[in-house]
Order: sequence, then C-alpha cells, then structure tokens
Amino acid sequence: MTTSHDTTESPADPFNWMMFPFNGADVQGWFERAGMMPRVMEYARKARQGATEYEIVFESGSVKLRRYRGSVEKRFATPLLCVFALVNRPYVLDLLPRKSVVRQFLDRGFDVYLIDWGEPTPADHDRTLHDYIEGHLHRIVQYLLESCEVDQVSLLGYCMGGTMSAMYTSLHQELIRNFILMAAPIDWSDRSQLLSLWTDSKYFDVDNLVDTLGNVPPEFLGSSFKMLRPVDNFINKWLGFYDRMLDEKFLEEFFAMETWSNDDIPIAGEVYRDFVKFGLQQNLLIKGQFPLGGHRIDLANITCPVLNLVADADHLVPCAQSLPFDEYIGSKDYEVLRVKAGHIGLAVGSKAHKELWPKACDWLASRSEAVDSTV
Amino acid sequence: MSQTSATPPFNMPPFDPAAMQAMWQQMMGQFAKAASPQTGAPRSASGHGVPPPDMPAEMFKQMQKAYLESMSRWAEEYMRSPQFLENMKHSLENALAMRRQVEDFLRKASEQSFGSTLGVYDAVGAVRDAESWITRRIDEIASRLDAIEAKLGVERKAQKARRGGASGGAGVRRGAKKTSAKKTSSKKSGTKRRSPRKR
Repeated sequence: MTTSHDTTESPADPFNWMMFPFNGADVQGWFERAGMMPRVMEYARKARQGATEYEIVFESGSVKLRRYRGSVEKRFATPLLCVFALVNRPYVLDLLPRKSVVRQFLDRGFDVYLIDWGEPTPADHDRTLHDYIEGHLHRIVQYLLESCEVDQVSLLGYCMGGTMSAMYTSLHQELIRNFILMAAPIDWSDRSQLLSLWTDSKYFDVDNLVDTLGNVPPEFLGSSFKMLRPVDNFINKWLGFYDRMLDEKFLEEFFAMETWSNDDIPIAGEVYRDFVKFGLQQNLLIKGQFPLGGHRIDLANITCPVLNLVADADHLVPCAQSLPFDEYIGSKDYEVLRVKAGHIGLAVGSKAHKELWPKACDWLASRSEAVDSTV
Repeated sequence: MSQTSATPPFNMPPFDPAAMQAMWQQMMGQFAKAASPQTGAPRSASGHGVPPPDMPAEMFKQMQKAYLESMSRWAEEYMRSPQFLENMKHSLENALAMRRQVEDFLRKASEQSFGSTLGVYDAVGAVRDAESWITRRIDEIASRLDAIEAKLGVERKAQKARRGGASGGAGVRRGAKKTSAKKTSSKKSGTKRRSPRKR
C-alpha cells in the first residue's frame, strides 16, 4: 500500500505507523486532544489517594488501623476488617467514591476497618509473616473485639492479604465469624501462569535476592507485575488513553488508578522469602505444611462461612489458584461469586461494583450480628 | 484523630491554568504550521511516518488491534521460553553480584577511612557502659555536693544566729534542701529505668 505523500518510509513496515494513536486523517481529533492537555495535567495533579474519610484508631508499630466513617447508621455489630496485600497501598479498596469496596459495605450499615501495613524500613527486613499475622493482625483483631464489644469479627482479605487472612483464620477460627476472600492465591499447583514460571526455583533464587537486598525494592515488584502484560501496560493503556482522554470522568479514574499503581512500597525481605519459597515454589499451604512461627497452617481448621470472590480475567492470580479453596477448608457454608474482571478490576471495575459487591454485601449481612435495637 | 484521605500525591508550585493554556496554544499553532501540506506530512516523535490518511479509521483500528494482539502473544511466548528464563536468571544474578561488590567496596573504603566497623556492636555496648558509669559518677558527685551544701547551710545558719541575722535564709535553705532531696532521689532512680505504665 503506497501513498503519494509517503516518500521516505515504507507503509508496509508496521513499526512506522501501527502504534500511532490515530489515523492520519484524524488531525482534528489530534488537535482537540492536544488542546485538552492543560486539563489533563490538572486531573493528574488532583488525583486523590482514597475517597472516604477515616480515622486512625489503633497503631501497632508502623501498622495503622483505619476506621471509615459512613453516612448510614450502623446496622451490624460485627465489624468488618479488610486486609490488603503487603506489596501495595491499601486505598485501592477505596479508590473513588463510585468505585469503593469500603463504601459498598459502609452504605449497608457495616462498621468497616482497613489495615494500613505501612512501609517497612531497612531495619524491618527480618520481619516475617509470623510477625505480621500473629503479631500485628492478631493485636488488631483483639483490639476490635474489645472496642466493638463483640466476640468475633468478619475478615475480608484481598490478594496476598487473603492468603494471610486464611492463615490467621486457620489459627484463630474462634475469633472469625465470616471470611471473604478476594482473588487470593491459595493453591499454586498450576504452574502454567507466567509468574509461577518466573518464580520457579530453577530460575529464581529468592535467598540470594533477599540476602543481598534485605527488603525487596518496590521497583522490582512493580516492574515484574507490569511485565506480565507488557503490550497492555506499555502500549494499549496509552492508546486507550488517547481514545478516551476527552472524557473527564475517564481522566479522573485513569489518574486515580495510575497514582495507586505507581505507589508501590517495598516488602520486608523475610516475608517475601517465606511467601515465595513456601507458597509459590513449594506450595505448602494446601499440603498443611506452611510454617508460621512454630505452627503448621492447616486450612481444614477454617469452619466459618466463606465467600470466595474470583475474577475470571485475572492474570496475576488466575482462578485456578483461588477456586480450589473449598477443597481444603472445613466450612460447610461456602459460596463463590465470579465476575468477568481483572485482578484490580475486582475492586475498582464498574461491572464488579454493579453486579458483584451488592451480592457480597447481602451475603455478609445475612451472616452478621445485627446491632441490638433495644440498646 | 481524624484526617481526610484526599491528599495530593506531591508538592508543586501554584498552577496557573491560563498561562499554561496560552503557552500550549502557541506551541500547537507552530506545530500546525510545520505540519501543513506545504511543509510536509506530520511525523511521530520517532521520526516515522503516520498512517495513510486515506485509510478508514475503523479499518486502521482493526489492523492496529490485530497487530498488537499478535505482538502480545509473541511477547508471552518469548517470556515463557527457556532462553528468556535463563537470561532473566543470569541477569538477576549478575545484578545482585554487582550490588554485593559495590557494598563490599564501600564497606572497605569506610573501614580504611574511619576504622574497622566489624566491632560496631562492641563499640555500642562500650558506649552504653560508659554512659552508665558516667551517670553513676554524676549521681555520686551530686550527692556529695548536696551534702556539702547542707553542711554549708547549717554553718551559715549558725553564723547568722551568732550575728543575730534574719531567719529568711533558713527558709530558703529548707526549700533548697527539699529540692536537693528531690533531685537526689530522682537522680538515684536512674535515667534508663522506664515505668512499665509509660509503655
């Protein structure tokens, strides 16, 4: 295919123009977007980190417990404790007012708490999973039991936070009334996923990495996740941005997401070593052999009602890693809710907020203790 | 304590939208002039050509989508290949080895400049022992001073009594004695002891 004005480059060479964001005829569209740039920059500056007001009610070292304020009167006495992963900031669960898992539960009358694990310093490189789970998480749960005057709390764990919550529930089942898993990796038997391949012990020496670096740098983790889908993350994302940048609602969502996804934090070296070695590489959790302090985690100890939220298009934690959870637990009340979304789409996707989260709230409401109306 | 979660991610000087808009429009005007048919076809940042303007937009998007999907599949296959995995492994090993070499070099340079750092824990312990000894010594000296002041206070009182002076000084001394007594007791309790309640 040749054109009269193209004199120096062959149009048959795709690199010449396949990644150009617009057809050469759409010069007007280009100028419209160019004129939009000051507004784009304004949205980039205004991008928020979270949408709902909260207060810090408890601190355990650098770990903080947030209590969110809702406009709806509290209907349920059982507090909901959200546990996010250690590799990112937790405000993805409250990214925007219309895309907030926290607000979904607040608007239904739940008392919602979220753990902010903080950022480990170089001196924290020897913190282990045991320190986080049996230390910070246990202290927080005990604080909630005392302050809310209840015997049990409900747990919601997202991604690695779900795995940690599962370990905690197996050790302290008597303290947990309901357990919600969100895209949580439990079973790493399926080795076809790219991340499982990269972290295989044949190709990845986690001991060397942790012994040399201490805490695992956020750049290492962030770039690893982005490289799982390089074309989507480095090309398609920006082509899509070009297409939609005239929509101000899109700009608000885009920059909120960009702010969060580039807000990586380091992870304590020993935690990373435990998780990679005993989880991804040796898959000890489903075998009942995952060591935590002096314990071996046995998922069969989990007997409370469990809701497993799974994203069908999750490339980070494929369905095969979280769906088999019911095969290893002792719960009789177990339900799965699936949505066609990605790993982060489960928390911020429009489809998830329209279809999945109202059902999750219904599930939890029917299993939570109501506030005593006579009090 | 309460705080809003809506915080700007970074600090920037005040932003003037009007000035930014004016500058941007000027730039775009110059670019449009450069990109006009008289001066040549617009170029992408890399200097390559743009898609043919006579290609329908929908066709262009479909071709682009197909191209990027095939690129994505190729990238996925390559990142699963043994060649990539081996390269990744060696690349990481080399990077960590270089990091260790740099740290060793810096540690040796530091030792040569400032002395060995191997006994850093011993040094910290020694400093703490010295601190404890100095604190005890200060306590002893303070006690002796108090005793001396007390003696001096009694002698002065006797002197004033012999001269028939006012008793005001005794009041002050009494006060001073009490203060000294308090000081002594607080210093004797040590500076490192922490009440469990304060934790």
